[in-house]
Amino acid sequence: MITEKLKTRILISFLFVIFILGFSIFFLGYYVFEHYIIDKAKTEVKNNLGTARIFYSNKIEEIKKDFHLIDPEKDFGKLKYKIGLDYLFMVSKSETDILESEIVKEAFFRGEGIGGTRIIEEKELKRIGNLLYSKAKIDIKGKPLSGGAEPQTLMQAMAIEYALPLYNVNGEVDKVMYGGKIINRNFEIVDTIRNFVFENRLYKSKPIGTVTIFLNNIRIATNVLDNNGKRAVGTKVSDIVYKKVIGEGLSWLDRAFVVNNWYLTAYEPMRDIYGNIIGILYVGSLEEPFIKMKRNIGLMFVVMVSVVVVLASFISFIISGTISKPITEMVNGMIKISKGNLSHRVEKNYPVKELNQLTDSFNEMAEELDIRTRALKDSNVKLSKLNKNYLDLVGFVSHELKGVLSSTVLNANSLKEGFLGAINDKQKKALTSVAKNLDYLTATVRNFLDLSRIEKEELELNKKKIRIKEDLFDVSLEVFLNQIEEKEIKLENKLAANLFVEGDEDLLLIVVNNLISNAIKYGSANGKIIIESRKRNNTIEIEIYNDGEPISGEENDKIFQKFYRLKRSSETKIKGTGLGLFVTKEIIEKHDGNIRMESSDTGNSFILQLPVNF
Amino acid sequence: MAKKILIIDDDADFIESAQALLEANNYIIGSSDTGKQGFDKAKTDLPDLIILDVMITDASEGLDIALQLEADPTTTNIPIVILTGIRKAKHLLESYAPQEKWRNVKAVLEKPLKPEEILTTLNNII
Repeated sequence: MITEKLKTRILISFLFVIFILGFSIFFLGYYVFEHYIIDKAKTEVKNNLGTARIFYSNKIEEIKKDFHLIDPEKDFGKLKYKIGLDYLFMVSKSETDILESEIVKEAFFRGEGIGGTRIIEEKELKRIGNLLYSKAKIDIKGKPLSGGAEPQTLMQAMAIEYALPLYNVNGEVDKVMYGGKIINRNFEIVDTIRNFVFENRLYKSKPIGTVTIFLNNIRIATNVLDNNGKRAVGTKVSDIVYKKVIGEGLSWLDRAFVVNNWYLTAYEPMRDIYGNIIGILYVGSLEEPFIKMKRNIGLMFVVMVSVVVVLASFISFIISGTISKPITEMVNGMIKISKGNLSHRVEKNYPVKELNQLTDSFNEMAEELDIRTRALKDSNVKLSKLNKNYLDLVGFVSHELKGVLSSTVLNANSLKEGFLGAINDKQKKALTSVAKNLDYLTATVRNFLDLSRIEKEELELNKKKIRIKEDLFDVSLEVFLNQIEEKEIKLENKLAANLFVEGDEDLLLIVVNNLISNAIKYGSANGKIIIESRKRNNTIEIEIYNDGEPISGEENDKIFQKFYRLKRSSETKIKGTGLGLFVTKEIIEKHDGNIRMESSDTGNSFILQLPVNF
Repeated sequence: MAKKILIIDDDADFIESAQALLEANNYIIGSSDTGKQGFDKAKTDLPDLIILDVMITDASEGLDIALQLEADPTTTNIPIVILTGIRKAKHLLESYAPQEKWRNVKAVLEKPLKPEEILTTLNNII
């Protein structure tokens, strides 16, 4: 059905474009969005790390500030507690050789206050205090780093420390006051940092933000929780991060699997005052909420694009319908009209000007067609009627005449021949004339009857094998013998014997009679009539020649027309209906043959061709 | 002995003209203008030949009569000459009833006839 094809075609084209667009937009958007989000996340984490670092450094600054405010003469125990330090000591110059803290050493050396991060060894830890020691001790969890056996317990502590040199009256550094906080299990620092940076937000009861301080590769202070919900103190940093941050001293910025979740992470090395890497500072943002957001937005995007695609598809469906509808209407209209329904009209109600013009034209054409066809039908009917009437008339009249002729011909000829009594010459002459005219009348009637049947197409062929000479020409010539003798015509019958042809005997006899009759009528008195035959391949040719006035080429075309009479130069009027050759031609052509006339200087030839298929 | 001929035809003028001609040629003529009557006359008169027109009152009534005459043992051996005004003389019989042998029909002639035609035909038959 054409409907389907055109509409579908248009629709598919639309949909194709829409989908390509939709997909392109979707993928492009998604790609851009994803990168944007990721970049933003990364930047944020990097910033967070920076912030954490600042915050951390600030803690050291705090100690420094406090140090400048306190009175070194007061009770260290109370002071320590008041400032919030884990340890607070005063050491004099004389004790420098047993000093472990490099910060204090530097303070002595430089004569100015120094703060920073340092590792406190086990021995010192114990000396500082057992409680601290216990607090600092951390069981190491997880696989050892690639490369060999490792201790299962961390005996060191990381601390932020500040050392302030004190000057004596002479302007020399004789004492250094130093104190610090142990970072091991000091959750206050990491939590504070976390709160500051991440605002303590939770996601599925997991903290979004995490902060960790590593001593070497071991978590000593963290708010990263393990599977049991406890701070993952004692766990290790991943190998990759360790290699990069502690091994190469570079920051690490990526997503990483921390304990049991994926985080967007930033790590950077923590150094002592000499610049040696002693640990790692880490901030991490839970990746999940990001992913979720990404997914949500992505989904929203998909939904939006889908909705638009669906909408666009719907619209294009309608449009393709609108476009194809009028065309389909017209195609269907044409089909209906060509099937004969000439009263069918097409709707003309389209919002498109040109379409309405088209349908108008279509309808006008259909209207015209309808009118003309009716007119044609009418005139055809009339013509048929007229023709039928005419032919019926012809047939009827001819038939009636034949009835009349039966007795008249018989009587006239009986009289003429003397069967009904002797007649004198005058009577004989008169009766001869009567008989001749009756012959002519009979021939005319026969011709008209033949015409009527040919025109009515009642000519049925009763085919059988006939001998041209014996069954047709000889029979005919016998009838015309008198006329031939009267005109003193010399007849040469050169037809081959036993020359067979397949045809209707009666009809072919009419043909032969017509041709012979014409040859005699139009032949010169004393002239010749020659009849001969030729056989080539599967055609038989018969030529009937008569001496006489040659027929011009111009007339040659017309002589086979109905009612055509030759224009003769001689004055003698030759009677005829002008039907003989017409009827002859019709009959010959019905036999799949043909007839033509050829003229020469001396006379005219009529040449018949009939097919022979046996 | 003169031969008897029965003419069955509804054209009175024709019968008259034929009669005039044939009697002049020593034939004895009987006639009838309807098929039924003709048939009966054939049975009673038992002519030597019957001339039968194809269309007596309606088309091919004559052919029916011919068949009847053949069927009847008394008339079956009488030769018949059929006259037709319709072109198709030679195929008349076959197209009417192809299964029949038409044994008794000896000739079919087309009207209008000339005296020679009738005389020659009759001569050949009887």
